Amino acid sequence: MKTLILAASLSLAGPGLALAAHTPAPTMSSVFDGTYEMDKTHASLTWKVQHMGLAYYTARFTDFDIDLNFNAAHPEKSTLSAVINPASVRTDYPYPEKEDFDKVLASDAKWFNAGAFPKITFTATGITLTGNHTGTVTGDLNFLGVSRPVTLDVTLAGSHEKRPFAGVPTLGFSAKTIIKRSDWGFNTYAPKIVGDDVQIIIEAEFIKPKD
Amino acid sequence: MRALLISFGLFLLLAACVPTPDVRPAAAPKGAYTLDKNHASLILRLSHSGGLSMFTARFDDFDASLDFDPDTPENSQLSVVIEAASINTGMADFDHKLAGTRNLLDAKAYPQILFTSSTITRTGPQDGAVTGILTLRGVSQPITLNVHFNGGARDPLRGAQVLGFSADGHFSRSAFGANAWSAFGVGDEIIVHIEAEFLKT
Repeated sequence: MKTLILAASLSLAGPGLALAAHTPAPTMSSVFDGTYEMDKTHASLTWKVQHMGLAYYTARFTDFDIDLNFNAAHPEKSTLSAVINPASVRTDYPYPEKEDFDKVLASDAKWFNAGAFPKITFTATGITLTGNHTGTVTGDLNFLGVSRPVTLDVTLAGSHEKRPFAGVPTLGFSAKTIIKRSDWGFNTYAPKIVGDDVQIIIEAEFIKPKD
Repeated sequence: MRALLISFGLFLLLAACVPTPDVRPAAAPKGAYTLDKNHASLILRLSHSGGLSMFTARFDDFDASLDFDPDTPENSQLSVVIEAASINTGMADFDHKLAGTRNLLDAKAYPQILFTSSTITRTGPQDGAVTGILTLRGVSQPITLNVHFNGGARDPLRGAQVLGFSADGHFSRSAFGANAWSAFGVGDEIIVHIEAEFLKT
């Protein structure tokens, strides 16, 4: 009962928490400076590739992490790197009794070949601001043993100086890009059956750990 | 090994005949289609924490049937059934919570989410607005999906005539009584992205 009352008063307190995230000003408070951890419970990496020109096959990687060191006064001086576990590909294939399709995609040499290449990595090399809360992040994407530059369009969707409940600085980003998988030698069934262009859509929140 | 080579050879042969989809709705065969569950996805996005990011999830188990009229696409019929408990955020415990929360999916009481088209309006040569009734948590309200016809083709690999669509829509979850955590910055607007291929029966 006590928990219930606590929960009820907490939910009453909810509107007062004023959760509307700040639209970041051109210059952000220096409290946002520093090293962040990705909030894995509020992050997604979705990809889409055209299938036979008929629809966009949509899947995701569930195991990935992004390290961010954010520079509030000069966001272009921030540093960023990401690691994706290719074995975490999830297609939500509807007939698991027939085939473990995620495993096939993850392990087959003609797909992600995760046994030979257990990590996909991205390391930012240059950040350019394009607006008050938009920018491009260019970096090297290392995939299937090939390293090639990729540019992501990134939006700083919001920020909290004190994240509700946790009370620590939090940043939220959306990012997207389109890559040509053949640039990494990943040509399987490209382009007619499975398109060459891969849309990548990332949503991620970052929490600055308490010192 | 031999079987593998033969099947690979056969695959290459079939792959070589994959036709370019015909983007004219009028060129698609008339009749009943079922969803190709291997090539379909239903993604949801909603604003989290007052706009910090777009929380992204999907329903894994859904089915759809389409009665396609190439001459008058407005007369086509679409119905969709989504298993509410198949919500997949990538975090199993959280999925159970979303499915079990009374003023969210309430999957025990309302195991299926339904959509039945009522009016289709053409908005372009390959585009249409499909309005229908969405039933979520037993509450029925109209919503509209913007649907793009990507094209149709006879697929030798699946041995069937295939139609491909992409669709987007959005609705207010509170209109269906699914208003949990609204006070905590979880957005009211649900954005839906659908990719679907249909096979002629």
